[in-house]
Amino acid sequence: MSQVSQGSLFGAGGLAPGDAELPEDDGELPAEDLAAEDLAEGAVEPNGGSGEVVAPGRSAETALPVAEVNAAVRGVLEASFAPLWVVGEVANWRRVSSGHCYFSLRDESAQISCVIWRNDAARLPTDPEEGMEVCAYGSLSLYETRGQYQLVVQKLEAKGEGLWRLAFERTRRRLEAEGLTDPARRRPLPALPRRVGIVTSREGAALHDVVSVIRRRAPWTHILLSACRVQGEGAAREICAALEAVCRHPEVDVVVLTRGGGSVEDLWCFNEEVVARAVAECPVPIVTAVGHEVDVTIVDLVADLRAPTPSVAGELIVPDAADLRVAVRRGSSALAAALRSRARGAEERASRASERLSDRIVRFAERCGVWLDGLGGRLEALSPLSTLERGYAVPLDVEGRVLRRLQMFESGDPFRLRVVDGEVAARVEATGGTGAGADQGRKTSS
Amino acid sequence: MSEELDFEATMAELERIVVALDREELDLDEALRLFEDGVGHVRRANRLLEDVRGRIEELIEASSEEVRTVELAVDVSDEENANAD
Repeated sequence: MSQVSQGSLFGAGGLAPGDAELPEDDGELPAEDLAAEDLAEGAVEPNGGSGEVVAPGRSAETALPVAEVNAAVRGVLEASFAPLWVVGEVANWRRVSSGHCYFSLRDESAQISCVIWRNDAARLPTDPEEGMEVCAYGSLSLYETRGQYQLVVQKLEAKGEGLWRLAFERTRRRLEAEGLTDPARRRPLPALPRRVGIVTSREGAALHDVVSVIRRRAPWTHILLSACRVQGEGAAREICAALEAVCRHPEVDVVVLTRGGGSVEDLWCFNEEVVARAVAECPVPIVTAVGHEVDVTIVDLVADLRAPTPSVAGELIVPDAADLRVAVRRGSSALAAALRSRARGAEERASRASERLSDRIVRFAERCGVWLDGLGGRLEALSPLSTLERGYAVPLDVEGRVLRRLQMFESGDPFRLRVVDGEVAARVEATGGTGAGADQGRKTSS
Repeated sequence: MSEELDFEATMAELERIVVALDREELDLDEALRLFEDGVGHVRRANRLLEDVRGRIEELIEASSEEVRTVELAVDVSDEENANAD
């Protein structure tokens, strides 16, 4: 390395890529051309062109300004090291108001100053804890103002998913402390939602899955997509806005917040506190289905229900039409059965009543029979036949009328005498005697 | 309020009628009338299930107070495509 530095810095007069004594087989030097050009600018131009100045800094007369040295060293550092991973413990972590983060990486005997610029720092799930062992990926550089070399970190990872885990736990603890993860907060889902709001990406498989399942199970359900990005920078804000928008729709009575599987980093926006709070404040019941079955995110903890996958979310949100039809069929047969049993009851009562009635009739008839038997003798006595038996006879005219009065007889008229065993032909010899009703009787008979 | 709530209400009413029919003290006329009501509810419930397909829409202009939507084509499945309106 020292050779490289010297060659670059002091060979400035005749700088060409080939002049620097650079090991060509070394993968650590991908930017050697760039470094050479940087140095050419720094060392050559201020001194008025190439070839004139020999060995700057070799004597007091050719002393280099500090800034130039730092710039040159910076160039060498940046050119000599490809971006690299460094492992160590975090010390003195500071996130300043501009958003940049400063800290040191150290072990027992050494330390490196580190910086994470704002944009990269914003992608960190959370700040690491003091003393946390991390791996930092970045480029070596020099902070010229202080002459301090530093690692410009682009990625920072704790062991395993340590930093994500840490961020997750921190957010979870905050939400828990406010009672937002309390299972008692969870609202039941509507049994038959009219309109389902879906918050997800327009292009994702999750949308397709949820819509397919809802269409299959409850095709009458209206679906309202409130689209947003579901990963990357700004996704969290978009999710919150989409959620708020869909809840403004007056007829949405359940919401599903979903996205398909992805890396921890892809799913990270669902672990962000601002999204979790938007979910917790959702005015209608909300189901979350983020990633695969094993992925549990912060939003799952505050939602009314967590579904392991988008498809399952669809199944949890709407009932199956087939089940409802079964319920209707069951209700309909229960209705028929109830009427049948009611009718059977009536029939039984009717037949019980009719049995009682016929019993009574039979008994009445029997009583009547006895009575009639008793009456029989007396009726017998009243029969005209028994009178004839006793020797009486009944005169009847030719038409069979009983001749009861004198007036009904005319001299010479034939008539019949009914006796007990037959009739006798007879004729009136004469009528005699008196009768007040003679005229009347005559009139009647004429 | 909504058709679906109607479904629930319809089923609840049906259940109420079944329970009422099971009670002895109804006279037969009343029972028959209830039964007819019940049949009406069964028909209604079935009709609600056969009802038209729901709309699939996308919310647009999420920032404005007014809610506006557009029809959204979601390729749900081959079977669905065959029946799509």
